[in-house]
Amino acid sequence: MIKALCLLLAALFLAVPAKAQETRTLWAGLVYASNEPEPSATPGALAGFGEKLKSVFGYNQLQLVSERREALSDSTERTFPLGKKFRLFATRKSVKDGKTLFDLRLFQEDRLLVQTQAKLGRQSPLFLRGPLCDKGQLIIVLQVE
Amino acid sequence: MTPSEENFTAWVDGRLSREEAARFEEALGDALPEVGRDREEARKLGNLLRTQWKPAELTNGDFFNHQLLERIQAEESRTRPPSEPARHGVSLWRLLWIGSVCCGIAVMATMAVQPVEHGGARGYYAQVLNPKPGNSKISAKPFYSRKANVTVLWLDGLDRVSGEGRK
Repeated sequence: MIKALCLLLAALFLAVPAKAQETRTLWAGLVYASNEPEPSATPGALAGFGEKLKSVFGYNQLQLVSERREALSDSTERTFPLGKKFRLFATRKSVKDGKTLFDLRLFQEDRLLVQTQAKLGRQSPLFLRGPLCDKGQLIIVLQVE
Repeated sequence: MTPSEENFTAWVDGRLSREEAARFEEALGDALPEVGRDREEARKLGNLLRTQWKPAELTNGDFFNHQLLERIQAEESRTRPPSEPARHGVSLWRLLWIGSVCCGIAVMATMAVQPVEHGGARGYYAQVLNPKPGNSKISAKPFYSRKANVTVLWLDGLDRVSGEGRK
C-alpha cells in the first residue's frame, strides 16, 4: 500500500512540468564621457542612469559608443563586444530573489583587465570605470533588463 | 624662616641654601647646640643606612606581586560596605565602554570583508563580489555612491586609449 502511494507521488511529481528557467536579459554599453563647452543631449539608451554617470564621473556629456543585449537563460558564457577593443564575457550563475549572479571578465583586446562576480537586481546599473580616452573617459555599464 | 618640621628635615639633609640655613639657625636661638647634635646623629644614621642596608633581592617577583594583589583585594573586600556591589577588577562603565568599542570594531570588520553592495534604496541592487584585477598594475575597487545610488567598480592603472570615443 505504502509502496503504491510512493509510486503515485513520484509519478505526480514527474508529471508536473519543470519550472521554466527564468531568462534574464543583460544589457552592456560602452560609454564615452567627456566635458564639452556645449554638451549634447544624453542618448535615450542612457536616459535611465545618465545623471548618475555624470554625477559619479564628473563629465557633462555622454556618448554611447556601442551596446549589446543578450538573453541569458542558462549558464553559457556570452560575449559582449564593446567598441573596437573591449570585450565582456558574462555567465549567468544563478537567479535568486529577483537578483542575478554573473561571472564577468572584461578584456581589452587580449588583456584581461578584471574578473569578478556581480549580483544585479533589475534596472540596477553597475558602472565599471574604464581607461581614459582622448579628452574623456570610457565607462562600461551593465544592467539587467 | 620658622623652625617647622619640613624646614628641619631640609636643614638636616643640607637642602637649604646658605641664607635659608642661616635664617633657620637664627630662628632656633638657644636650641641650636642641642638641635645641632640631633642633626649630626641623624646624618650618621642616614649614612649608615645608605652604606649598610641593601634591599632583599626578590627571587620570584611575579609571585610576590600576585600575593600582594591578592592581599589588597582581600583587604578591600573586607572593608567594603555590604551594600556596595562587588568589583571584579573592571567597572561597569569600563565594561560598557569596552563593549561599545568591540561592537564598533566588529561592525567595521564586517563592512571591510563584505562585498560592496547596495539594495533597497529605491529598489536599486548591485553587488560586486571579489573583483580580481588582470595584473598587478591594475587595481579594482568597488564602491557605492550614496549620492548617485549606484555601485561602481573603479578600475585604475589602465592604459590610456585613443579613438575609442568615436563610433
